[in-house]
Amino acid sequence: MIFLQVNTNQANVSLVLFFGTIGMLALTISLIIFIIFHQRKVIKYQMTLQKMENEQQKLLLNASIRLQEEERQRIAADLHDDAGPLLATARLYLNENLVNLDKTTQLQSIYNAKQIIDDTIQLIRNISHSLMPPTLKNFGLESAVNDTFQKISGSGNINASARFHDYKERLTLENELIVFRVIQELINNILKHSNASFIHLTQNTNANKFYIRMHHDGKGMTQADFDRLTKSAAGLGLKNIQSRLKVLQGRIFFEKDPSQTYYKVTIELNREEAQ
Amino acid sequence: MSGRFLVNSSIISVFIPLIALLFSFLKNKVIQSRVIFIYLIYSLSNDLITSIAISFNHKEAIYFFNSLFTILEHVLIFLFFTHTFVSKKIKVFAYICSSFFLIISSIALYKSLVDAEINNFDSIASSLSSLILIIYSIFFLYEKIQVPDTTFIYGTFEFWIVVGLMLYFSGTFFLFLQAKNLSKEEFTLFWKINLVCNILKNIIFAIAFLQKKKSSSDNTEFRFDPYKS
Repeated sequence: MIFLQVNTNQANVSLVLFFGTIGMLALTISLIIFIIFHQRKVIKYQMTLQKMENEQQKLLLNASIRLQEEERQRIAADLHDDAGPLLATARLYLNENLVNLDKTTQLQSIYNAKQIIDDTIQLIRNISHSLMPPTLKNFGLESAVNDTFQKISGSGNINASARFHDYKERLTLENELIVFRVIQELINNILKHSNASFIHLTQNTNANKFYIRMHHDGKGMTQADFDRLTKSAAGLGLKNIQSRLKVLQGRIFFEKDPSQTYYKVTIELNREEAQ
Repeated sequence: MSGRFLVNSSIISVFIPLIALLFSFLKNKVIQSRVIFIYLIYSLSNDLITSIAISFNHKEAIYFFNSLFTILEHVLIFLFFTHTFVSKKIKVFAYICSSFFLIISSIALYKSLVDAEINNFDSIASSLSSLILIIYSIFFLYEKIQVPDTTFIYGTFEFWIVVGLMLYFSGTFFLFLQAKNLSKEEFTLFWKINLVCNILKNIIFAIAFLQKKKSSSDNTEFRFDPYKS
């Protein structure tokens, strides 16, 4: 500052002062205008992002509601179409006229009614199990996944195997159910669309992360396909996977193996969130 | 435009933000508005006192009050900024810079009073203060573009206060810097820059007080609201 003063002593002080002031004011005004426009641009960009995120949320919510409705319709159909007729038939066997029949016919009718009621109990149990698998509830995710994979392998069409490397500490039941439903949906997609000959699932942990990886040798999808489908009106199951994982603040990655032979799906969860 | 008219306009212009403050949504809820209110009242008092001193041609008094004003103005604006900054690093920087300024300017004031080296204007202290406050203003704007906020910057109280301060101090920086080298006639002529910038600053302060929002990046409103404590 002193340097500036000394230097300008010889020069025309008035001129320096005049142009210096004009320059400073011009710089200040330019800076303020730049800041205003820059901030406007950033806010507009943020608002666009927010809008896109809201639309995505809306899609996920719609998918979730549709899935719930479908599930309710399925349960209603099971109860109406299967349990309803069974119970009506049992009622027929046990009508008021039964007391007027001979003893052998009475016993036969009671036996038939008992058989039908047993079938109804089994049916209701199946419905209940589909809502909350008992293996998952009693023995955890590892057993439920192994159980599912054994059933798939038992069909003889596809070889399914699962290996849990580090699952000593179980996730909470609600979170296990979410992960299990995601795995079920992925398996369902593989069985329906991929024409794979094997599915292999592995579980492991790394630091604070919990990973589930699935490999298969069929026709799979990449992350780009997943992103495209979850943003479109189609892909209800995929949207459902995304909304379920959002609850756990988890992520899912679809990729083709570097060897170009397998497709790989990775589910990544935060252990703190899930446990 | 006559010099006397500009001087009077500059003094009276302080009432514009003070009237705006009466209609302000913020009133005294935030510490920043209190600081600016005190600053305005002090500016008005200083203008009146120096006017009286000028009329009596009391050079020592003019110099003393002007120098004291430079120091206290810096302290008040420093308080405004430290309550507005979010970053701790910037706050620390502000504390260091302002402490340095206070030491330098206090020593300069003391020495000139003791040695009886009285000038019309303490050029070094004023320009140093201007420079430091311009830097704080730039830091404020830098912070604003760093922190993602959905509120438009020109809708906030602090932004307009900083714009007013920036325009005033950048407009008067070269005047304060060259004040020593100016002849009496030149000083009287160029002092009009200070008067115009002061009027402009007060108008912008009035705009600031009429803003409904304060910046969302700090929580001083929460801390100073008696209904919330």
